[in-house]
Amino acid sequence: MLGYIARRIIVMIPTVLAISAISFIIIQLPPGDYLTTYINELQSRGESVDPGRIEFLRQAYGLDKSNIEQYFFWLGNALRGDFGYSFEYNLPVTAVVGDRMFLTVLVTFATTIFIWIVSFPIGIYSATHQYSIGDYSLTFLGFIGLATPNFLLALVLLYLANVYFGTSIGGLMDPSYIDQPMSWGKFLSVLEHLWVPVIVIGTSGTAAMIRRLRANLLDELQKQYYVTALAKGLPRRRALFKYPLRMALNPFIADIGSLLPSLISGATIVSVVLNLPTTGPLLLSALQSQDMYLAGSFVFWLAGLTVVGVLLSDLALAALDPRIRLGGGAMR
Amino acid sequence: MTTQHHYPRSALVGDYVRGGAGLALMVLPLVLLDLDTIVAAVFAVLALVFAVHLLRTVQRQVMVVETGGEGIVVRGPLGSAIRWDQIAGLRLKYYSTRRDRQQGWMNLTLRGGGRKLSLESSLTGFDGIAERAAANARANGVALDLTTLDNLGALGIDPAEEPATDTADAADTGNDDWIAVAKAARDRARDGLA
Repeated sequence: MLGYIARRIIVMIPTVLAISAISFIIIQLPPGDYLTTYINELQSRGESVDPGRIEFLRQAYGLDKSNIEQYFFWLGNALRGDFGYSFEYNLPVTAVVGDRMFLTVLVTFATTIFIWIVSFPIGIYSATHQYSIGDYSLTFLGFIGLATPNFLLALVLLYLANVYFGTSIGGLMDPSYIDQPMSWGKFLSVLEHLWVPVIVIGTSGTAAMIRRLRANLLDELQKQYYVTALAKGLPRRRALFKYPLRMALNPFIADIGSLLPSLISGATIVSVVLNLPTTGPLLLSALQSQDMYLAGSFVFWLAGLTVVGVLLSDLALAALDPRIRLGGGAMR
Repeated sequence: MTTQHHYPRSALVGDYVRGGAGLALMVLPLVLLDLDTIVAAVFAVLALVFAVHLLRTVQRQVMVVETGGEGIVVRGPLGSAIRWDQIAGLRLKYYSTRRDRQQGWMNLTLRGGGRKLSLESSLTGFDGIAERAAANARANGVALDLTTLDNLGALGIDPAEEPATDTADAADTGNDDWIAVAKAARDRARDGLA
């Protein structure tokens, strides 16, 4: 397994370097550089430009060097945890993102748990009771979940939460707790607001996961080893949980690959509709305002997290199911 | 009669290159740059992985595997030995870093007598060792997991067969294309059934 890990990581390194280069090119794409944009912005507001500060920033971000030198300068700074400066917020990128990252992780984690908890038993039931009334009903609900636009569901749930539970509209906490230090009351307020985005974001993911688990499990249940196990007298439930279910779990593990990047970009539109203080709307605003260091950093993190996520899911799949596949197809 | 098996140098070159390049790419930033604490921790862990991978490659280069009527012996650093009649566990895994799962390699792990042996498919005569170990595992009443049975079956190995005494497979030079080997075994089985 260690040999596999080493080989898999060495394959990953050129990918990450290519991603960093593309992210840097994206940062460089707008005409001029960060400082010319910054100067233009100050002049458009009628403010004076401090030449000393401009020179300091030019040296701090290596903007007086060639593009290749700037790339390595940017990469070196990124490895030190300095991803540049957001001229829209007048703060370092890490400071802009830092506050929102915790809430984004919380929403994504809660949504993932919700998806797994709901889809796991339903997927098993649908597969083991194929073409029953329960299977048809749950499949129908799944299709509704897939077909309903998330932003529409968000608006409906916001209304219901406000009318029946008195929850404030939008956000992840009561307005009185915004910018306040963490407290028990703030934590409870976050929990009170959390269920709406979790259900809204999780519904479509749940429906998709149910379909995949059902299909995978049905494939396994028709294989000879399962039929033989039943014919030899192994109790149905034990036979199900010991082999076919483990094999059918691959989509759950493979989903780790898409889980990490969704920490940053996940459900951006829903976050805008629900006014969530997560990183999704920040990414959207950075792209709209050409806040190049902020947008470039997001692109770098998104792609980097995708690569790391795929690595983790590949390692988990290799550990759980290291089988040869003569069909030569992908394992998911 | 005892037969010797070893890892061909050509099979180890790739591991040396990967281990060396990976270690250099992880250690150089650690030494030359004042990294962020989390980034430095990630680089340090990855450097450790590549260092252990390099050491294991060196170990495989100097290792000699001997199979005979009594059992299997690994001579060299961290050497070990397991008698055929002591085999209490056997796992055969297949790994590939490619999306299409081609050009992978196999890993055979044997347990017995409180010892553990791990062999990769680039070892000369690997398929013969796997066949013999599987047959002896069966004879010892060892339960093989589904993955191992699938992988053995893909190589045309039936663990129910009697343990082989001949080691003619030792002449095998170590085939890296296990998908091709497995497909050939499947075709042979199909021809036999027909």
